[in-house]
Amino acid sequence: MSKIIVNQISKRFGKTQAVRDISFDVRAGEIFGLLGPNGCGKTTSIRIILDIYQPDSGFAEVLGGPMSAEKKAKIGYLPEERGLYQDVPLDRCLTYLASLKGMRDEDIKAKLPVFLEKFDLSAHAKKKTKELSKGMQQKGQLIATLMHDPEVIIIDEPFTALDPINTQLVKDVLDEERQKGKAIIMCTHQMSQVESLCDRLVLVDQGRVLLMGGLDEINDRFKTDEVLVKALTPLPSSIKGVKDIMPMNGNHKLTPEEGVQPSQLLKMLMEQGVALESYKVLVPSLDEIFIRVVEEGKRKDE
Amino acid sequence: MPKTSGNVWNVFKYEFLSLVKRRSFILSLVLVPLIPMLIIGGLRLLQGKDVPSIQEVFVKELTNPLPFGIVDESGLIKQYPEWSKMRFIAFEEEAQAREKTAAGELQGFYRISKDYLSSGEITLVKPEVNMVSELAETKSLGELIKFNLIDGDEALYTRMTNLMDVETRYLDVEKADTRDQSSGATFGVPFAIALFFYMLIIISSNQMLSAISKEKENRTIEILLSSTSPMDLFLGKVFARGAATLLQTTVWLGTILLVSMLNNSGFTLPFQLDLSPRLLIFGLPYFIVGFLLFGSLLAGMGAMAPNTREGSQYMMIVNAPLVFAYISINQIIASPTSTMTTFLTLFPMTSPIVIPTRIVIGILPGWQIAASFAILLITTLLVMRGVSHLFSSQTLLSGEKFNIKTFFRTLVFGK
Repeated sequence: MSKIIVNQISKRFGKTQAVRDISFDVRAGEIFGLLGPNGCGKTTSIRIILDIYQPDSGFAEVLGGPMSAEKKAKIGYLPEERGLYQDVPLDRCLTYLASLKGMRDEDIKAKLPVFLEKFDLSAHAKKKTKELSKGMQQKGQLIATLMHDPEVIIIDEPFTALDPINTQLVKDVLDEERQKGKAIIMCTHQMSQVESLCDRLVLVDQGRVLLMGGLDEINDRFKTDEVLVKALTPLPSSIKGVKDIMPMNGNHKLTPEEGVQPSQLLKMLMEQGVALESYKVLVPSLDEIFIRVVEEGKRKDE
Repeated sequence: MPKTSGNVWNVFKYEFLSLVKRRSFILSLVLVPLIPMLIIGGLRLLQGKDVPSIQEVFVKELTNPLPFGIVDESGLIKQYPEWSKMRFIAFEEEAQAREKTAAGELQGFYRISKDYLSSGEITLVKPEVNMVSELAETKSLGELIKFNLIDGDEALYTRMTNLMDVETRYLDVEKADTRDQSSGATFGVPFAIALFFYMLIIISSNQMLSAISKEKENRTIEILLSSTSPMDLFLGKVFARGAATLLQTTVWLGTILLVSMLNNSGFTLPFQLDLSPRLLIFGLPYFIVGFLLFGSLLAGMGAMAPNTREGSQYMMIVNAPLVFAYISINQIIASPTSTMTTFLTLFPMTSPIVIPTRIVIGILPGWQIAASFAILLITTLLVMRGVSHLFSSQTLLSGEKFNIKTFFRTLVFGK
């Protein structure tokens, strides 16, 4: 079941078309990647979902209908522009933000220490936010996003300022939330995190959708039949079934002839007596897909 | 008007507690009344229990109880009336007066020259400057000379010093300004009340601008908007600041009343403060609604301005009517029934300080109170409605430059 439905939303600010006919949906128990270059319309789309902005056309539904005050309390939002009260102790700031999400005082008192402990911030609870490191502030912000147990989580660049240990901690927390059936939208430029966390993604540029689908589906769509081999003996200059051989960092990239599948190519190499140490079907990284799709989009515009 | 989302109380609670827990707030709450009390108390301890008033505490510090000597070479001063004997001692020779002054038994001495009647020449000889006692005693010497110029005729001197005893009768006592023109309180008390309300409204409402634009500067606004409505933020903040100011005022007024009560135990204020129930009954609503009016306007500016600095540049446009009313206070006190005073009483952006001032003056028809409050209330509600349009998420998250035309257009037309 879709927890968020975005249907053909458009938004213009003056002469700038920030978002143009964007549609996607986010289901319960999935992490959905909302990707795109800076200024592509991600934040505007999120603000429309959150009812901070009204779309010029189209609509966004959250938890089965339009946004309401009650639904705002069921959403956890970590914006790109981080904001905690700098001159206020962390625990007081988090208590206030939780109260705005409808949490009762006794629930906040019970849950806040648990979250502070989980994010290793117990010792810093009484410190003013400005006295904390950026990474600690980031974790504090994540507590504000998650403490009220939201059904929908929207997080923009959650790994900013985090060291590898804390990055793993946040990944584990997000995975945990997914297991609980939460619908999660994640915006990030770190494609490795998208590859390891997201179930589906949408790629937006210049306010419009360029690519959408499941991670496997996208990999399949962009994969080539090229293979990377490491031979134990020098490769012959021409191999049956191979159109092109290109050396690559001690390996060789082989481009099969038309109609030859990688599995067939392996069989053919073995039959021709090519001794191999490794054989790998080349799959483009999400970074490469991202760049390729965005550049293709720009070329089409030109 | 945009809807609230039930978070007004949460915003109010957080903002109010944040304000009153601030060190600067606590210090101002305690120190503003405490410092003058400590100074007065300290002076009392140093001076002993005989000091009867604040004025006298300070005057006693400045005046010198020692008498002046008089060396009269003109032979004019033949009689010393009773009131002059504590202040002046006659000396035949200048050397004697000089010796007593050097010994610290006199503040100094006056030498009246031989040809005083033609030249008016008098020399004052003294060891150091004391402007207060010098002015007072020179005036007393003048009175002594006048007394002797009429050969010490007590009855004539009394008439000279009190040339007439005018009794004023009014055509219509009910309508006439019957204030005691000779009393300092007639001008002092209304002026103090005007200053008090002016400071109260201008300081508390001006804080609204920074309260809103700071949320934008520290980037908390987006988090807040994802949890609550802009109207909740606006109302919660306005009410919290109003409540904090009321708390501050209550403590300060309480202290003034306490000081007034100490009247019996030794010192008084420079004039009797008339904190009549009428002032409190009318002053409180005028402060609350006045604060809502100015606080809302400045909160609207804060919502539009990208930062506090840019918003502050335009603050004066909103504050101008209040400032004008304040600088017109002398006119209002002098002519409480003039057309200008009536206009400032009815005009909603000046009435919050003019009404309390006129209540203290005592000349204020009931219809003017009713009309001015109705106008103030309606204007405030309309302004709050207009400001609610400025409190849209789009305006709050926009980083655009402040535009005064857009501000007033949105305020009046809603877009």
